Amino acid sequence: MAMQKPELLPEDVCPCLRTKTMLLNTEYRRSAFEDAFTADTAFFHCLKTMAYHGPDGDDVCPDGCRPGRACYPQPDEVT
Amino acid sequence: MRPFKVIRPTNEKEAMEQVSKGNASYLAAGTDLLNRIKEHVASPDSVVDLKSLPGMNTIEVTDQGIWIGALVRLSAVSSHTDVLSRFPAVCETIIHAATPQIRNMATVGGNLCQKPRCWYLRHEGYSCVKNGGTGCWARDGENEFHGIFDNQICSATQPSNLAPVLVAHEAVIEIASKDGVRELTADQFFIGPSSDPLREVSLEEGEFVRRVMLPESTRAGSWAYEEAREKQSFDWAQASVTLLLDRGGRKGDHRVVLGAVSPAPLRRSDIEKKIDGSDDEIAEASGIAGAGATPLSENGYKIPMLKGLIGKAIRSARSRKEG
Amino acid sequence: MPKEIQIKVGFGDQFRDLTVRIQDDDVKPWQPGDRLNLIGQSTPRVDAVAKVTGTANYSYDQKPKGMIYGKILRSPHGNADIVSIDIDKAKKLPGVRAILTAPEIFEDESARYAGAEVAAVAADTEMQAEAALRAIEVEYDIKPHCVTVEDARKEGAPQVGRGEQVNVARISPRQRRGRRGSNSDMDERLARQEAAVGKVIQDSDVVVEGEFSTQVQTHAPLETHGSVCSWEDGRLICWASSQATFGFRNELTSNWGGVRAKSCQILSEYVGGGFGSKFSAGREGVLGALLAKEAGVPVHLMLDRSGEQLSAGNRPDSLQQMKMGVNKDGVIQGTRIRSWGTPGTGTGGAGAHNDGIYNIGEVDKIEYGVRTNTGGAKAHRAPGWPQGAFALEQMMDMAADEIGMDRVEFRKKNDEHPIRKVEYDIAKDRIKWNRSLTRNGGAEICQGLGIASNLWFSAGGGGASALVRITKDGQVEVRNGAQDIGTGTRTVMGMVVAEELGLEMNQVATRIGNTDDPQGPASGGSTTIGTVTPAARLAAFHAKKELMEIVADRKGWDASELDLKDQEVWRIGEGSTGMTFESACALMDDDAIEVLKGRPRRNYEGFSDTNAGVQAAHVEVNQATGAVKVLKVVAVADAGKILNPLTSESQVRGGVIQGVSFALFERRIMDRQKGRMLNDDFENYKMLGSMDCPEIDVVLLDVYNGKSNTQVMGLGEPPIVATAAAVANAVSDALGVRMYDLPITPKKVLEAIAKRDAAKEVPAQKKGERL
Repeated sequence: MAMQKPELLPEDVCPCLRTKTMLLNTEYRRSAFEDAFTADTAFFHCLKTMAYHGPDGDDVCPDGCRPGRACYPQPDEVT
Repeated sequence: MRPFKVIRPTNEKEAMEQVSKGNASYLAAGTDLLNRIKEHVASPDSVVDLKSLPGMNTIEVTDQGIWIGALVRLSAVSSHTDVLSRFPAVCETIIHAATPQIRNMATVGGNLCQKPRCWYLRHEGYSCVKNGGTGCWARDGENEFHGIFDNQICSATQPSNLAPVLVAHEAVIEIASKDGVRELTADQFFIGPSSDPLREVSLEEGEFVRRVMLPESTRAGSWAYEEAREKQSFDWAQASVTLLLDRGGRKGDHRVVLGAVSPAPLRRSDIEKKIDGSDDEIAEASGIAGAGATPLSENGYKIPMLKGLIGKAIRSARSRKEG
Repeated sequence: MPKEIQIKVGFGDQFRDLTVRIQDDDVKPWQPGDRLNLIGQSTPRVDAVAKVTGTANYSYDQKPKGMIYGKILRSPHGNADIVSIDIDKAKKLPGVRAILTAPEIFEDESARYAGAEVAAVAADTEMQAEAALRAIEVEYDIKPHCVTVEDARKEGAPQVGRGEQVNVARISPRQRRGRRGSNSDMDERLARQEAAVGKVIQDSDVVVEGEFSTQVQTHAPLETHGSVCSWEDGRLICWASSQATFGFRNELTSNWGGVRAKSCQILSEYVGGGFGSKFSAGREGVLGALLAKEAGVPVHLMLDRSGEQLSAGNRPDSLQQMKMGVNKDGVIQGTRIRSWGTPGTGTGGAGAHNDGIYNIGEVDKIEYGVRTNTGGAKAHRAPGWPQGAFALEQMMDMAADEIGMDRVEFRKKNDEHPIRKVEYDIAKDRIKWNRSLTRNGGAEICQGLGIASNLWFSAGGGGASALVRITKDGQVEVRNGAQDIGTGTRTVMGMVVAEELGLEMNQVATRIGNTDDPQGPASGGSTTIGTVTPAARLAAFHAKKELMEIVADRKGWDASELDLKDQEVWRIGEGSTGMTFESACALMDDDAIEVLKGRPRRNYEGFSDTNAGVQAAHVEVNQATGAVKVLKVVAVADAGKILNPLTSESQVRGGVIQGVSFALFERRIMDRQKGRMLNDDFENYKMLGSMDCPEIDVVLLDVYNGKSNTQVMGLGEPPIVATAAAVANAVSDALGVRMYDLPITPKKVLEAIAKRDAAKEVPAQKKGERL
């Protein structure tokens, strides 16, 4: 049952990013998730910290949680 | 909650001995004390349960007045036919207090001895003049519900809804003490921080309230109790006015006592004098509501609130008399 | 292959024919005039008795064998980093079975608000766990803090966050990170827009403006966050207070989370409220699961009330500056909006929807998020809407008054929603809009009326399957793993299946809130019912079809002519065959028919994609004490087809109650000195009680929108949008002075009266200036 990266997360967004919209309306969730990127009432949290900032202390957000960030999971973390 | 021992004394002497041993508190219904223990702002090692003492939960009606035991539940007072007919203002203040559930549990003695509701005092980690430290957090902090009179040392207000009406009726507080029973009038009983910031009532070490007597000689010709608060379901007064007119049939013997605006119920004889039956008595009386007030950053609204309540109280008492 | 069908869409006396394409195995939406037994009838909740008698077992009530108690230690400091945590003394205390520290579990050494998690303990009793928490020695590096938007925005304010994080950031239009060139393009675009809209407003006949603020409101569900966790042979079983059972499971099983359970079952049979705060397992969910693992016995970790108030979510506050240009004919030309709000230690999510609902002309809107050292905001029942509607609806009244137009007519003039156009008149009629009242502070006790609108988007979508099972002995059960957070999903799912099978309510068992059952949605966006019920109806329809085929086969009838009605097998168009449902079931060869169906694709054609709604409030204000009493709220609501008027009405009542509570009472109060929340309890965090509750007059419109086979839309969020706005407008109407800040407390009323009366003595008051 262990989950791989949630399918609707874009390829280059951190697999630890979570937001409410990911749990809704999966029929058109990809577009809904895209909307959430720019929504002014969306909250994003990190699966590792369970907070609105990542392990590096900076904000969790679709623009920021990208490859190259210090806390972005290394490939070997993906089992 | 921190564990504590419960002691059930069988007589008053034993109760006083037990409470003097180490870190102990008296317990009545516990509607205040237990919450303070849970919040870690009271940490007694033992509680001495006064409910095990005999004779403190009765209401005795005499020609001189009505004696109410300290362990009588608030709801039993407010529904007592003699209290209702002779001291209706007392009942009115009670039904404005807390919730029906709490009034069914809380006792008269506990109500008079509860600690102020100041949210700094009731949060662990705020050391102030009232818990053995120095200063008052509310003065430079969140003070919307704090006092506007006598608020220099401590700005917490007396939380008891019963306190002002007992002062207005010159109730006698009977206290069990080591040397036997002693009595204080209500206005002697409730004290401000300049007397002792650690206490709101003048009970000495080991003492507890036994009974409260409402003197027949202070029965009001007419009366009113007006209270303002945010919510109607379960809330504390932001300001209250207790008004007794022509006490004991003595024309002009009025009492105006303000509640929730000062550390002890505040009798205002200056306002009493303005209630003279003249056409402009309401304007005159309410106009000086704020005399002597020293409002803090967020509670200046209590002055117009008091003005409004004084006006309502006079109209209400006058119409009750005429009606 | 999709198939084409003819349906009627519309409401009231406005119906039209429409051809829609639906999934080939889908069933036609119920049509006006269909003979329905349960749908549209007020049906009490199937779990009403269990809930009111206390026999319903919530997560909080679970007590698996051997269960012990978990508690969380929280930072008392407004802003700090954790330097060290010494658990030696704590772990030697009696009863202590497991201790975890936050930096270790969450890779986070910061404690950015008073209430941030520092450590967690599991012990045999609650008292032992608490004693152990207090024995943990923590060394903090205490930093300066800001706990209000006002403080955090000040020049030279202490830094709330870490690293490069500034206190104030533009959140909409969003500042894209790491995309070279785009930000300066954006700045230029915004500058052009500001100039253009500024000119539109300036050229309008009338300009109105105001600055409005709303407070932080905590979710304050009666059941706090948390779970009871038990590991059984490597499988995690979690009784969770959740509004997203599958989302909760995902977080506990994900390869990137702290728990990484190989297998996990979430059980949320009863949930004591969520209001948007229970989508994630949260730190408490992770800590509960890990404490249970370490202790080797089940752990009960539910937040206490203080922890709930401090850390479990809130509606962000707002400061909204609005400027609107309106022409004399009532048409809004343009609107300029700037807003600020705090989502806690982050910056995103605190937007205010003050530009929805009406056509407000050309819009120039910029929103800022402001970091504060406070507990994090979360989605809260219609995120951004009640606060936005409050500001917008004050502006609507101000503009209408300025041009001398009736306040409702002015709204109609700038509103195209076909349903709301009808709802205005119903609301006006029910509140007696044209009645005469002592308004404008004309007496000690004065009264006023206010009106406001709402909007929502909740037809539901994919992401749900339902399993319907009919047994040979006539038992029927429907299952979906989603939760019912108090909305009535459990009941309505059963109604839909009973209707399809021609049965009574008590003949259908429903099982919900269990992730071993088919996938269900999170209860968010008011989409649960619109997502779950079409799947349930489809599964029931196909189960019926299978049963009818068995009957036809045995009896030599034609299955396509058979249907189930009134607990009997009917021949379509002719009536009952006399065969009961039970005897039909007895004809099965197998033990049961089981049908699993996913939620059919949404119909893209239809009537209206959105819920409308209008609310009107009648209030009384006592000018002597500043007390506001909401006498009555008329709530006109629509949500597609109303399946169960009783539970729908309850949704609306709940929204109005929480809305009045937001308007008058609720607010988080922060001590700026130590940076702590002062009213982290139900004594000083004031919520509406029974004596503060107005008469609530609910009017429901039944709309055939053709969007799905049940045509229902959600109704959890829409009814809270307009309430505070309508109440505030009514208070302003009563007092003759605008109310700019929520909640409208006696203090603010008395202060507004004082300013009004002072302004009366200065007749040359500038127009539009804030009093």
